[in-house]
Amino acid sequence: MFQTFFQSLLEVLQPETMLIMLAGIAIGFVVGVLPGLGGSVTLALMLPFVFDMEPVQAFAFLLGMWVVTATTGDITSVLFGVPGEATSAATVFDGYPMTKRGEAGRALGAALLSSTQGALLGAFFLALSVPILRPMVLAFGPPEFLMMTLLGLTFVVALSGRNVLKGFLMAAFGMLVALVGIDPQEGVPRFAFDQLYLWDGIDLVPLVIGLFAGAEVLQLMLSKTSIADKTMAKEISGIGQGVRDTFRHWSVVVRSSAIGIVIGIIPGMGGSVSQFIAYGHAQQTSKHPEQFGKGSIEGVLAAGANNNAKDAGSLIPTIAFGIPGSVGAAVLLGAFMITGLNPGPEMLTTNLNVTFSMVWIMVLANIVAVAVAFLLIRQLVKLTYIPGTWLVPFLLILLGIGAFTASNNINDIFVMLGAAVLGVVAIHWDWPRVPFLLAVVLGGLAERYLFLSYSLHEWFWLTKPSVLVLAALIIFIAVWPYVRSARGRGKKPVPAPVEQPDDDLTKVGK
Amino acid sequence: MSDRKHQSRFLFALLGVVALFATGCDSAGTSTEAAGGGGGDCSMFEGETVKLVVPYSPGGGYDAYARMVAPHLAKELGGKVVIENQDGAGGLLAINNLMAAEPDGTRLAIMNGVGVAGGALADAEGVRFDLQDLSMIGRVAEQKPVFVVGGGTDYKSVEDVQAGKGFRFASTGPGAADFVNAQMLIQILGIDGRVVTGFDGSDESELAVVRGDVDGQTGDLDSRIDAIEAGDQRPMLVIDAERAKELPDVPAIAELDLDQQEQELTKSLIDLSAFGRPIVGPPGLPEDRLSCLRKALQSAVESPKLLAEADKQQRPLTWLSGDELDDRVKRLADAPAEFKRGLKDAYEQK
Repeated sequence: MFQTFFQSLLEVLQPETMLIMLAGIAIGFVVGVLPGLGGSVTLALMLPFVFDMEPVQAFAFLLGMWVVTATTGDITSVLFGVPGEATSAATVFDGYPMTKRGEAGRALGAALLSSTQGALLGAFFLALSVPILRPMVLAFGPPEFLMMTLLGLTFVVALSGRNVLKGFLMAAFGMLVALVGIDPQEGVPRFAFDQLYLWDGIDLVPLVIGLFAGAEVLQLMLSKTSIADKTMAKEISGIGQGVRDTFRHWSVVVRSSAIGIVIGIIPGMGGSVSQFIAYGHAQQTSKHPEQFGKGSIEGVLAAGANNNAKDAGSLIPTIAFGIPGSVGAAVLLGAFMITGLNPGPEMLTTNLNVTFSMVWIMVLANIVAVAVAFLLIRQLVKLTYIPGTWLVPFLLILLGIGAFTASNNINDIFVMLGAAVLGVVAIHWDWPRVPFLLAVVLGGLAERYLFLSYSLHEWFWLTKPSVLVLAALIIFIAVWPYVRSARGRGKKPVPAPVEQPDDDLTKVGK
Repeated sequence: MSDRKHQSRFLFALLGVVALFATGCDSAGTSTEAAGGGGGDCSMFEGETVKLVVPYSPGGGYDAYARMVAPHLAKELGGKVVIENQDGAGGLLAINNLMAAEPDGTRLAIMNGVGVAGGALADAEGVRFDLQDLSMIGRVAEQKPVFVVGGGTDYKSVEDVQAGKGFRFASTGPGAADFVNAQMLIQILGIDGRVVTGFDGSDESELAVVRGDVDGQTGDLDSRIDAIEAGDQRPMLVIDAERAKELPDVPAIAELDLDQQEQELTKSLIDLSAFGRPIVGPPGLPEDRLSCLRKALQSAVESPKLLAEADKQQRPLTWLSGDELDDRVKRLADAPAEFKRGLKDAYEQK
């Protein structure tokens, strides 16, 4: 197996394969930076090009392109507050505030390098898990998925910041928004108001773009200054600091990558979910949760590492069963067909070299893309000093295109504008936006998996050992901040933290 | 040598694409310009742009079929064919919108045959048209439904399933093809079972079947064949008049010993399945334009070049003419009341 592992590296390093991969990286780079045009759409468009290629070349091209979009999507998120990809939305939360503070270089350095680290960890895990791919995928079912969504929802407390009550209200509102659309059990439209557009629910892309980017652009229009505050500008050498940050907070990077891999494996959860869970977890475990949303470097690292690691995770069920873990992986499945590969057991025996070459491609493509991005950072950061009056029209076009291309429906623009208004209101009266978004993302999933768990196992799913383990984990994560703050209060022995939740609640709030 | 030439041509094309992106191409649609002219009686489409709407987001099977056929259709028509993805309401949104399109043939759609035709017959919520009104251009690919069980289950044949108790089908939800077929199988074969809904697409259902959470599912042969060959799923029945050439040992539903009422239901179910992946136009297409589009699509689907491409993508093409689809529409309109009631139940689960 080791021999195959290194042989596949040599296959990837063939001059022709490398050239094809560089072409893929170039396309992925541009697509990632531009909002709207997403990685999976581009994959679908590029699929016909791989007809005459060898399997390794085809994956060098497509996989190289796809993993790079996740990396460079962060650039737009950090610089303009507009997510370059749907999976780069969480990078906006802290990356953009850092830019406004004049720390764009540091944020970009951290986002890009953590992306590479996430990709490396994901690829490493993919390579390691080859012998146990199939049993691993089968170990999870709807009850386990439900517990994972609940785990994600416990982060609402941490994400709420100073006012937990406001956070819960926003999360409840998000749950309501998640209910819009055809319910998965009975096929009944809910809150659809006879609009077919609403049958599939509110699309996440226009919602995120409006809630964060739309609101920021509106503020930029009113402020008449540039994005970055010139008086606060620091040297671009912040890049180096960003790079060092990824090592200083290595555990955030590792944990966020792990979350990305696990969520990536689950076919129904989709790529845009895991970034919010990773972000919530980072805030929950941080020593400075109050910094999150205001330019915390840990928030940037969590989002950056996560969105690259999840790609490796979503490849796992694709390779093992031909069941894609995400939309992008679904298109890659088409490349399996075209190049005559059968996903499933063969990928772990006769075609093991192709499986391992995918690992190498993810690693190499990310390293190349990040190296190029580092060369360009200086020029890119200058863009944020352009006066708002020049930049706003350009950003408005990006917003419109980004929202519209989600499903080519004019209603997406209205959703985006509505979300922008909501975003401005939330900023003005200090209501947290992230719990709302997390509840929108996870609410629908929680409902679906709850009903599935019940119709499959009635209430017996509650007694599954894996469910109990995850439940224990949820309780631990929910209670841990109180334990820590209780400990921090003094040397006196800490009573069982559950006994005085009220007191602790206010503590965390501050 | 020629291989090398191919490579360099490919790289050249790629450079072009990179340049295209760099200049800020914003649309998800690829447009395909025709190289040569089409047939003589299709002059009205020369230089025209035909929009082919895909009612789902990019990356799925319908999207792949549409993108594969588009350049060849463009060549036959002597114009451009542009793909537009418009997802919503499980594929209904785009078809409802198509009903209001100018009937000149410049706006067509690929359709989820079973889902939308079944919905129209059942008069389901959200369907705002009659099936007879759609202009059937032709079917590009069939979707042969098969009934599979998990590789780890004890069911070896349909008789085992019929004899068993509490059989569970996985489905995405009411109105989806996997729901309609499962519900009809329960009715026709008298299976003691139910449909578990809420799975997020056939991928998640497949995992549930392999894991043993549910006993089986119905799905297209094309999407089930990998799992069948890997032994993860075992085929029980092909829902068609004849056996499938890929599964010569698996009985077709028409072979089973059924009473007359069950046979009639089976016939209607097979008629419905025949819709597969059709390309349709808005109501009231003028005769000359309709016949031109039908001819152009047929020559495209039957051209050796496209067939080879389809073979390579493992997305087989099986042409069925617009006339024959019209026949099926008529036959289904006269389907037994029992069948329509069954469909209605499948779309409005009580």
